[in-house]
Amino acid sequence: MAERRKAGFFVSVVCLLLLMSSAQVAADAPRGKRTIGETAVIAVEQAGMSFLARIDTGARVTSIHAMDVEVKHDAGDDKKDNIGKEVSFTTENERHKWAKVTTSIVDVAKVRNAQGTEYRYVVELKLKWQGIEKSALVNLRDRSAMSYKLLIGRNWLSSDFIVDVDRSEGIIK
Amino acid sequence: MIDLADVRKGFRSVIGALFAVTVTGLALAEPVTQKCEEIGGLEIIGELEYVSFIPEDTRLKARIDTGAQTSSLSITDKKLFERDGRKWIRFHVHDAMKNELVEFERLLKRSAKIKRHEAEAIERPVVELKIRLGKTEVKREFTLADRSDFEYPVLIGRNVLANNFVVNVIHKFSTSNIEEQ
Repeated sequence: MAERRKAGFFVSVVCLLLLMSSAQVAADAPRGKRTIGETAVIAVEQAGMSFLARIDTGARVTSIHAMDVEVKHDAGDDKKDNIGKEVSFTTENERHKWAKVTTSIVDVAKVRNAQGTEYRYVVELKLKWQGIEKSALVNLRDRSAMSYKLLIGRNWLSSDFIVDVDRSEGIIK
Repeated sequence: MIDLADVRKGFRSVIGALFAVTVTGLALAEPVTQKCEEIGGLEIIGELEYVSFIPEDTRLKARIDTGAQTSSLSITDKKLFERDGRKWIRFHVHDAMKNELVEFERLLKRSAKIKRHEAEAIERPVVELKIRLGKTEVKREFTLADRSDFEYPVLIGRNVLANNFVVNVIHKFSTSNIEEQ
């Protein structure tokens, strides 16, 4: 009888633990995620400043405004030959604050748009929003003609953020 | 001391308990992975979803795009005509699942100038379309894009998302049943 009771106790403990863990899963996802708006003020660590960013679930990859892109020991014609090299560029936020960023090229992205195909350098940047810091691959692009100098794509949002367009941290006209 | 029948009974009760736990666990976990979850009354949708157009009942794949203000639909063969003294537009939508062209007729609301970076602005017709996305039905403005090389035929912008949906990009086609995909 003692063995039976022990077995019964063991089973109820296992049951309880399993129940608790499944309930935990149900409660955590996706409510553990943070909700971000259609725009958000995001700090770019390497630039030492913040941007009012557009949160864009239609974009796969995040992109930042970059001018005067210079590659150290530039290989020339094929951008792919520059992967791994040091790159520096000037960026500017929506309040016309400038910063020079130096980092390394981790990839070259092929981007197709209305104007045709272009190749852009990809770097890794640390992006921080409301205490949450997350690194992401970011395309370098001349965004002078665009209102938002930092565009947050799905690669930064994925598995951490839910987007609610009823929220906003500012709108650039 | 240990009776074989007791061990068997114990074993059976463990199996039974495990089964019960699994079923309970699945039942609890289901709303997370399954359709139509909500946050504060807003339905959660993924980066891609099916959208049905009413009353044609045409179901198309849509990209959910918080970067776009207005939603858009890829169409062909647009033709303006007059009905009861008002401007209407007739156009075709390609239903990829049925592989057929569906004819739509709507009142023309206006023309929208679409600004494009480093390219000339173009004008596109705007109509109101009633759609069903997940559990929600809404009537909103869509710009009609006369081109078929879209990655997805429908782009759902903020004019549909606002007050109705939140987007979780780790999901795809989360509002439809698995067997429908």
